[in-house]
Amino acid sequence: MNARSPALTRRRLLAGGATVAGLAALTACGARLDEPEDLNGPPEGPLTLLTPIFPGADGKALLEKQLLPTFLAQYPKVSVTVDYTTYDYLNQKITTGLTTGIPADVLMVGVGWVEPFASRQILSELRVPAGGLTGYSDSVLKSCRWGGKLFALPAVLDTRFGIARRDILAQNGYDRPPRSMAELRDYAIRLTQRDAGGKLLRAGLDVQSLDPRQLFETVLFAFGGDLFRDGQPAFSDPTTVAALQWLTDLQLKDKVIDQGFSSPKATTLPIADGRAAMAIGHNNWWVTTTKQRPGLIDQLQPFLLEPDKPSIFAGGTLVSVSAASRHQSAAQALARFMASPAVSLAGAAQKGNVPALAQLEQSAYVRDPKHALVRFGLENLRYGRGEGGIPAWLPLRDELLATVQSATTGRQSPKAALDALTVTANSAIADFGTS
Amino acid sequence: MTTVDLPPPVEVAAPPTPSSRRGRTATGRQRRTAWLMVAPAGLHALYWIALPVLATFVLSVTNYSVLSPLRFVGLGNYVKTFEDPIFRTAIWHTVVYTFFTVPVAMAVAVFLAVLLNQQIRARAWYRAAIFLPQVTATVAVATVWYQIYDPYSGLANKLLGFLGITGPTWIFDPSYALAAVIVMGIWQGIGIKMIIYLAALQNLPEELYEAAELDGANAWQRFRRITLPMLRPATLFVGVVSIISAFQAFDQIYVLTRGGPAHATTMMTYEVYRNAFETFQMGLACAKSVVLFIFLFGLTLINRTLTGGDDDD
Repeated sequence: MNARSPALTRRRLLAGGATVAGLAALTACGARLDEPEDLNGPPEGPLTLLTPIFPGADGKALLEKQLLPTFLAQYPKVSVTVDYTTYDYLNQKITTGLTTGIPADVLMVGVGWVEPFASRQILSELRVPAGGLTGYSDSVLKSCRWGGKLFALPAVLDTRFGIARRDILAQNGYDRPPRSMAELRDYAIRLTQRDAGGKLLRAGLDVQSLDPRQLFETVLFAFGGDLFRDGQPAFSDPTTVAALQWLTDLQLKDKVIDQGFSSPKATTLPIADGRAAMAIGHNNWWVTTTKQRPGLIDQLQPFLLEPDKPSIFAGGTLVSVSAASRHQSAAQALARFMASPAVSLAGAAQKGNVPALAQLEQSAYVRDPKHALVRFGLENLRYGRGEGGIPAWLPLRDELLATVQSATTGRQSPKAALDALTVTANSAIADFGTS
Repeated sequence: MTTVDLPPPVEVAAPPTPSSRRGRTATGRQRRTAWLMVAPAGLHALYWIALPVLATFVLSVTNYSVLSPLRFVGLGNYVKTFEDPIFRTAIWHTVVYTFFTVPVAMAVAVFLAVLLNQQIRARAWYRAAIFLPQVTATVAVATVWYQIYDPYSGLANKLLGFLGITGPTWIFDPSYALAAVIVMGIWQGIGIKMIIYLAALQNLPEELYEAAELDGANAWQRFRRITLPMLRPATLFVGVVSIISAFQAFDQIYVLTRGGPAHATTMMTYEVYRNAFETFQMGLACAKSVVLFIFLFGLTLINRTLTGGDDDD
């Protein structure tokens, strides 16, 4: 009897363990089965809000002490618990929320994330706010829709475009920024400065301080290219190859900047301290420039890379509601509040970003002379182009980044790198499905 | 002829078998107490170790993506794992990282341990300084190394500049990025290895050295003929544990390079993370985890074989 007991125990343990593991795996995907409450009911109940904006103690104070009290006064039966994160950890937070079956009721996600989540019924369709969608740019709203339905509302935007140092251009005989990609390249070559030993003193065009993926997308849109067309990858299109070739040649052939001269993690900006004459940059660079060289903020001149076919990169933070939320009515109310002018303006001002509503163009924040980059982003939102567009975008984001790095460091030719990406994209689309 | 009367044979009971001895000595109450005392640790192991491991195996044969309903896909994820060129690259990088970080760090650790086993001034300070990277958060360490590797203002290229050498762009260049990560890995791994060697050195019998000295052996001969052979058990232990640890390298990659540029520094653990949390392919990530588990299981078996198996052997 004694001799058999351990074997029995082991078997029982293994069987029990396997059962629990199986159940754990099954319940991990079962969270969405909960029936949401009636959308027409009064907003009430405890909500959780996951946000990558409002960082740090200042962000927390702004959101919880100044903004949310207005919402809670309007909906006294609702309470809100905020889960703060950064874009670096947003994926992990969402993944763990979905896996455990307790995703946040209101999720703030990036442009390009709506398609994968909406196509998999992770998000609830949003009710159009009472005032309609007037004021939101169509280009940005495109990133909020899937299958013709609205799944998110824009909160704050991140735009990317050309930025030139007005004073450096003037010193070199230019009275205006470049007006085409060809001219931009010509300017960049002529404005690059090296010492006698070949050491780079000033980059003609800083193409390293932005995330390489988003930088390439900004260039691609200026070339008139697309990431996807009719749900299929457009990476091997001649326009896409030409865009990456342009970016690669600037660095490897024209040597307007050296590898490692700057990086997205750098705490200072070459254009702010005169180590770069121009850059493809972000609207929030005014924040760093103000800290780094406050006197030079007026010298930053934003420009469209290709004014004849105008485009800017428009990313941002969108507000959406989890389909698993048991308080849909309250969650939808909170989502509308988080995309309201007051929150959009406060959120944008805190991070140096662009508010999502055109009516905020007249706000003191946008009109501030120091915020020319923000104003430029808002004024040109009609030319905004966003990333993503297909449900399989999330697995491809990293691959696009690696592709750009592979080409711009000379590991692969732009065409070879993009052809390889097309193969990966086709496989990801087949895995994920296009609808 | 004398005869001796032998005493009648005494009936000796057969010695109890270990199991029956345990059965007879432990009362039911003692057994219950034993189970109660083991229960917290057992439940902890079941909940935090056994269940996740089982779930990993179960999920590895599904298409679990967080976003989609669960579907059985058989060995599909394993086929994908080995067809994935990035994961194959990651395996290669992991092997290269291990190949360089483990032996080099061990050699430096032995050298430092021998040095710091001598009666020198401020010995404790030196030991603490060398051990410091081990107890510092890798995130902090990697952030500092990120500054060191800055091609323009970093310490690495400044030092090379003094020697008249133009340094590379380190973590920004796919050709040097892995080497940069390896150097950091070596630096960070020296402390713990040195401490283990130091402990082993302090257990070596002095009389062997005295005898060797009497026989005219010089310092190098004593090191080569006595110290190194006597350190063999410690070397085996350090080697296998370090290899297992190197296979699990993650945080330095995550902070320093994010596996880039162009996947130049990606490793097995980073790929598991990337699939799970960046691309939401949990099933695939689980399959890759199982592959990593098999690697580590093999290494653990080698460790047990080399270091003598069970503790009570």
